[in-house]
Amino acid sequence: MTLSGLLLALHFWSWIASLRFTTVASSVVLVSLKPVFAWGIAALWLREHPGRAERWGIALAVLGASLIGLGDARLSLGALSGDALALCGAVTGAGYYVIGRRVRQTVGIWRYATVVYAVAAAALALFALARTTPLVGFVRRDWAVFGAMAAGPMLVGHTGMNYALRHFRATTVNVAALGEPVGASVIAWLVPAIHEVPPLSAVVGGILVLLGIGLSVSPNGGARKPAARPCP
Amino acid sequence: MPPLLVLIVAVLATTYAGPIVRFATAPAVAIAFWRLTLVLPVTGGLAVLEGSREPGAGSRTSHLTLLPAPRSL
Repeated sequence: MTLSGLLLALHFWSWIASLRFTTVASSVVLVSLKPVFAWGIAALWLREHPGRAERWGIALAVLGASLIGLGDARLSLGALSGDALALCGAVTGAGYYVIGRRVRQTVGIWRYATVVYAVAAAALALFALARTTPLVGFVRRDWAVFGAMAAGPMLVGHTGMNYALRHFRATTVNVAALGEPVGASVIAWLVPAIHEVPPLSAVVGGILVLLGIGLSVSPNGGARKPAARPCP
Repeated sequence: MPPLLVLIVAVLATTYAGPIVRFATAPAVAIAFWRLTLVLPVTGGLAVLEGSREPGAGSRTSHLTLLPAPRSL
């Protein structure tokens, strides 16, 4: 669980940091490879292999998420280091989910979430301390964002996915997580303060992602699969 | 709650992370730190409840129930 927390901290930091060095497109495409890395790690460690339908689901969802990212393409400097960070974000995110798949067979969701989130928060605090990044003294709007991020994406989002890891393969949960950019694009389009009209490539990509998720979570995909190597 | 429904709700809950983070001026590390820290009182409280509801919680036999069954050895 400690390793899972450290991987989560590294995943959060590396992905956000990658956005400063590479294009959003490269970052999104590389991070979207999470299900592929999860597939590799789970196959080596847990001997879990996705079925035929889920393999198609992974391919469609990754292709769709890549299209969404490419629709947001722009030039940037220092792309190579940014790409490396994004790749690091994908690998650490995949590792975090595969560990969760294994540990969640025996550990309750709330105990697992508490330990993993606490370790990740402590690691980020140490990182902030080392780089003299402030963790306090923010304006009220920042605190509102912190609260909203904690209540939705963290408490319901990540914890819900950790709960699902007991019932679905890590690859399936990772494919489902690719639905995030689709929903984010819809919200960014509907919220007047943002109002970003998604390009055609993002619309096509969104449809592919949803098709891929549908294939992955279908009964022939990764739904309701117990862990191949249960914990003692 | 069915696991598939939980997974769908979880993914939907993560969708507004990207749009909402644009309204923050705080550094990325601070956002990541506080999103994790603010949920800890909730998950911690529920973890205590979860532990107290486990069979044999608080008794000396609780450790025995965690031992693997002979068949799995």
